[in-house]
Amino acid sequence: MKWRELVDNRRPPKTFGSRKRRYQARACTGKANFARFNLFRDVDRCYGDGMAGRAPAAFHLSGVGRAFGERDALREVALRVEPGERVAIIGPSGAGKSTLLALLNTSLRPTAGAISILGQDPGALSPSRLRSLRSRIGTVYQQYLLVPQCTVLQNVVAGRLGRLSLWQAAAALVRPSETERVAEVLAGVGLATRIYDRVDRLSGGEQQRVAIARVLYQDPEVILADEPLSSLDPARAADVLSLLMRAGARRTLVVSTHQLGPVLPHFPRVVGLRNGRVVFDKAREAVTDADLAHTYGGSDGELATTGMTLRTGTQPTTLLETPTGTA
Amino acid sequence: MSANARALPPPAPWWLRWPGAAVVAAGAISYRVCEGDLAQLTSARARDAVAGFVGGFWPPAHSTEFLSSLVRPALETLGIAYAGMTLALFVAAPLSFLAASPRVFVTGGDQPTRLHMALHHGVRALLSFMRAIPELLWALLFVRAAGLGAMPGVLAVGIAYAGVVGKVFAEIYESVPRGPAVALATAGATPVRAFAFGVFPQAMPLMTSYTLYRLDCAVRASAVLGLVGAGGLGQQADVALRMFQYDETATIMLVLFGLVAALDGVSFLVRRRLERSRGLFPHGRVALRNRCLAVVGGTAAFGATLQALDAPLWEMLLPSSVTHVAEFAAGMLPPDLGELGKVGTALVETLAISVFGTLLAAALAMALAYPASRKLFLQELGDEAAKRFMVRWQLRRVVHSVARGVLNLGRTVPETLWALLLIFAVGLGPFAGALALALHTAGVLGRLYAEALEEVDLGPARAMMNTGVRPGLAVLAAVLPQAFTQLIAFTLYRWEVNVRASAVLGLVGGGGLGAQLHVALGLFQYPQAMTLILGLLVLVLAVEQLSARLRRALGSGGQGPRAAVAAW
Repeated sequence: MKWRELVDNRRPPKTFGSRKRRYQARACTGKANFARFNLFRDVDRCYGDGMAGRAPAAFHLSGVGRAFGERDALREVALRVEPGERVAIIGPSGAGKSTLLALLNTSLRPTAGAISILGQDPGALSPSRLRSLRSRIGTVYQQYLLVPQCTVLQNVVAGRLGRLSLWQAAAALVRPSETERVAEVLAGVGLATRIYDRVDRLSGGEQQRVAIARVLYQDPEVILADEPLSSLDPARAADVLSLLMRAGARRTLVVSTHQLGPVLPHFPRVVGLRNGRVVFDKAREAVTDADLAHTYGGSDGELATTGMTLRTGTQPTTLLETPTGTA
Repeated sequence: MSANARALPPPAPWWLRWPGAAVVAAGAISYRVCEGDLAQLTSARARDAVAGFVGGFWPPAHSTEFLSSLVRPALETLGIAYAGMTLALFVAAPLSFLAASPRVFVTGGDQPTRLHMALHHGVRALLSFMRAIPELLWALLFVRAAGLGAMPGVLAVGIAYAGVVGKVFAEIYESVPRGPAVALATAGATPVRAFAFGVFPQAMPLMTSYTLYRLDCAVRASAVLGLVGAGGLGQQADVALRMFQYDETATIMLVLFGLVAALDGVSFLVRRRLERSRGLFPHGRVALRNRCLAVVGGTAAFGATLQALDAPLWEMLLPSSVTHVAEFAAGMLPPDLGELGKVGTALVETLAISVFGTLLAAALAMALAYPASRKLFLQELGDEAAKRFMVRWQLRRVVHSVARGVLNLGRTVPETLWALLLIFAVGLGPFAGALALALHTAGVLGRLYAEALEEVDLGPARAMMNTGVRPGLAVLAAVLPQAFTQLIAFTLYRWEVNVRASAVLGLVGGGGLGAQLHVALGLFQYPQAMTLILGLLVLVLAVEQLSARLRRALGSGGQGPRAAVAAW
């Protein structure tokens, strides 16, 4: 099988330099590069020790603010995310998590401060360069944002529209070789048999998987996920989370959530947002009850009533333990 | 306290605070202006006319000779409708992309380009011009410019419908959820690609069913175009009526009825097939082949139809034809501004016809919508107890059938044909036009009202019936209020349509602008005709603006492309 050969013979670039050139070439031609396509990217070899320092930060925000009319959704946000990092952004509803993610995927522009994404300032780019930057950032939206009347196949293929022309994308729906590639991605998220089903016939959890498959097919360097678990029951949430972790394992991954329990064990770094400000930005092990209380407002007693407390007595909670099984 | 006081909205204008008073005033004024006289409906003359019709219509003419003479006009009507609609799609589809708000193509914080904005406004204006002039008037102009036959019919349907279809398609693009397209754009897709994969697939089901509905309308419209010499069944109906051959008229109407019903069946099948469709692009080679065959076949059928109709559309692109049409258009310029007073009177009369016709239609439709709704009248809210009394239950079913029948009849017979019939009952003039408009519009609105009533939450009405309220009262108290803004939106949209329609009624003797236009065109006074057309354009655009404002004042409930799609 041709696609198998491609997968098995893939040869990841040895240095970050070649990787960078590759993306520049891609940005210039805008052509599809399916030969390099792989599902769960092996970035370890790209982001080897010592490389992270020299590579541009995935995201670099300094003094960033975003106002909607009179209301400030974000104020004075400073954040630096290195390539390959996994960051969880937590905070109550209305804290500005979604706004922050929208800034990171360039669908919003900051009204104050400077932002640099993968080494580029999105505000200074020409439309076509902005598009090629965007094609390197994948987003899983809270509302999935799939086209309900279309098949799973078409929705997944659409993820790659940043690099495929309209006709290449249309051809991808007909050519068996491309269809097989999509099937491969869908098998990775457990939806291999639903490739020709219409999205509006799928359950919410399945639609979430399609949204993840779309991002995987896009093959970005960075994956952003906005409240990926918000509308799923606990069992589905665990499934989707492990899927997301696998997809983001070798990429930069930024997830916003307010479900701390299942999410935090997977993220070495946690950023707390409240009222549009960064309250804390720490390694997971260093996060204290006080931090969470501050983020979610009120006292520890209030936290306890909402079931969000970290520790009972002096015992460390599972919340802050390092993951053992999953990941 | 003070915060609450500030939150109060500013007082609305009186016509919004007392909408009933405004409606009654509008009704009374328009009734006077269009020389209304409801007493005429019970006069001896009207009774004679109705008796004459009923006696004359039955039995319909059914000699083999007459029936075989109808085959060609019937096919011609279908052909004009199909060719005109295809032409309209060819014109409207590309224009609709530009007519849609440029925001549809723009994501994130970007601004649409100046060129795009300019093109957008230009195309919008072009489309409103194309649809402001009714197809019958376009046909009349093309008959003058290109001669008798099917050709002016195809052109008229094509141009007038392109204006409507382009607008409605644009509204559909604007209305579908934009999230998917935004998601694709933030993954790097160009605006066009994001549109093709994120917006268009969502819009397509509604666009297709609207196209089928329009084809339905096109059959009825092209049947009428014969009245001005553009071929088809209308010519036969005109001749038969003028020679008082009521039995032949009845047959022609039945044939038209049959054509529309057959088309309804076909479009039902197509729509059911579409529900299983899976997006814009074909999946797999078989689907690709089928899609290509459908497109090639449709285009070939278009060409063959034009050939059969002897309407060589492509000749319109020849330089000689272009200069001919340009000369004709130049002959209408400059418009004759000498008799603006007369034009003003005609405009007021046209407006009055449309207002009175629409109000009367709304009242009729309101009365018939509940009994015509199978779901409300017989099924969901049917009087359970009544089922045990067979007589009463059968009576209910009869009432339901009669209401449906009246609405179907009103809808199927175009207002122009109604006007031809009513002229015998109430004489020439605007009142006949208004009544004709009311009958046709009642048929259209009745169906729309019934659908809107059926879509609301029936829980409150059921709860009310459980406390012993009669079903009819429960509908009035618990169903109607939920659907009310929707009903008003439908009525306003229909009013926009009716302003154009009432301008045409004069061509067959229904008063208003059309009567003067008929005279001016008959006497080859083209500059005068141009003035009247420009006046109509102004009136139509003004009514469109007013209707849009009223709909906006109604709030979110009464807007949206679904209402536009349903009512246009």
